[in-house]
Amino acid sequence: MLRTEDLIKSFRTDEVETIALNKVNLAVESGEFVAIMGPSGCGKTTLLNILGLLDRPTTGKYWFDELEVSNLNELKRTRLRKGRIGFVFQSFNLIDELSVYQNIELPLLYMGASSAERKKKVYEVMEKVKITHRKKNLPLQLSGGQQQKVAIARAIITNPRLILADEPTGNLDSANGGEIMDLLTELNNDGTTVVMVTHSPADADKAHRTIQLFDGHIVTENLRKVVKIV
Amino acid sequence: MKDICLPYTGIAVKDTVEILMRNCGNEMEWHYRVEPVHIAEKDQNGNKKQTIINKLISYIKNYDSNWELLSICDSEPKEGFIHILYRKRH
Repeated sequence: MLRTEDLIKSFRTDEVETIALNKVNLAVESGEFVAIMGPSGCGKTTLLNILGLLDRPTTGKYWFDELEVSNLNELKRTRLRKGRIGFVFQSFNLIDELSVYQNIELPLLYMGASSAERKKKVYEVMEKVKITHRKKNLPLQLSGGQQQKVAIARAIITNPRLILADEPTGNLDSANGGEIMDLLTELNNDGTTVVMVTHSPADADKAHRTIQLFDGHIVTENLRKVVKIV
Repeated sequence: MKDICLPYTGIAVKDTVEILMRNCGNEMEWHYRVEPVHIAEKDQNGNKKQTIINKLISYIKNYDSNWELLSICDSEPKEGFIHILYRKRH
């Protein structure tokens, strides 16, 4: 589903060039659950942003569903992203002024779904993440765990084939973190490919495979479970 | 689920920290190790970064296969070590 070849990402400020990713070769099959780990500043989030088409590599190639996308412009990347990739962030990134219902509904509004379709799907995903009872609340009236459930509901409402999660339990206590990991595991069991950046070995244990990054290099991969390819 | 935090400091180059956790007597056991990997300063070409990467890859590849790498810890390069957390495979 995803494949990179000699991916390099560098950032230049005046005279200093920082190489965030250095010749990263990675393949993620459809239906896999992959964890990316490594010390702070090793390039995890940079890699996730490129995989999610939020950013472009400096050099190297990236195939998303067999399509070479490394040189696509912003507009084309946005079109490709829409409906295909769901994002879950550590800090939830919900819109404070919108209710739970409205936050979850947002991607469908962007995609031009009808009112009836939006309502049906919002209720479906609210039930799935067990947040229906909070539909009228604003994000700041919810606990961290509940906010992350809303963020996951928003990420999955377009039925994306890929979920990219950047430290999804990083701001949560272990009980709420456990619930969020159960949700991501359930989504993966239903066929959604999940790529997750984490600092937590316990969270990475839920994945089929863990990739360890260090200073922009993949230094090792650890296969834990046999993957059911979908 | 409860998080347990074990702070450790000052592991010397030849020291390994071994942690044994037991839950409900002997029913469940986990063995963890923190290994300090000494970082070479520079190779003959003065290429420090690539030397560290190569050393790390080689160290991980040749490590006892009964142990599973859990995480490469945040390390201060000035200390000259990279700490790696391992867990014994069941």
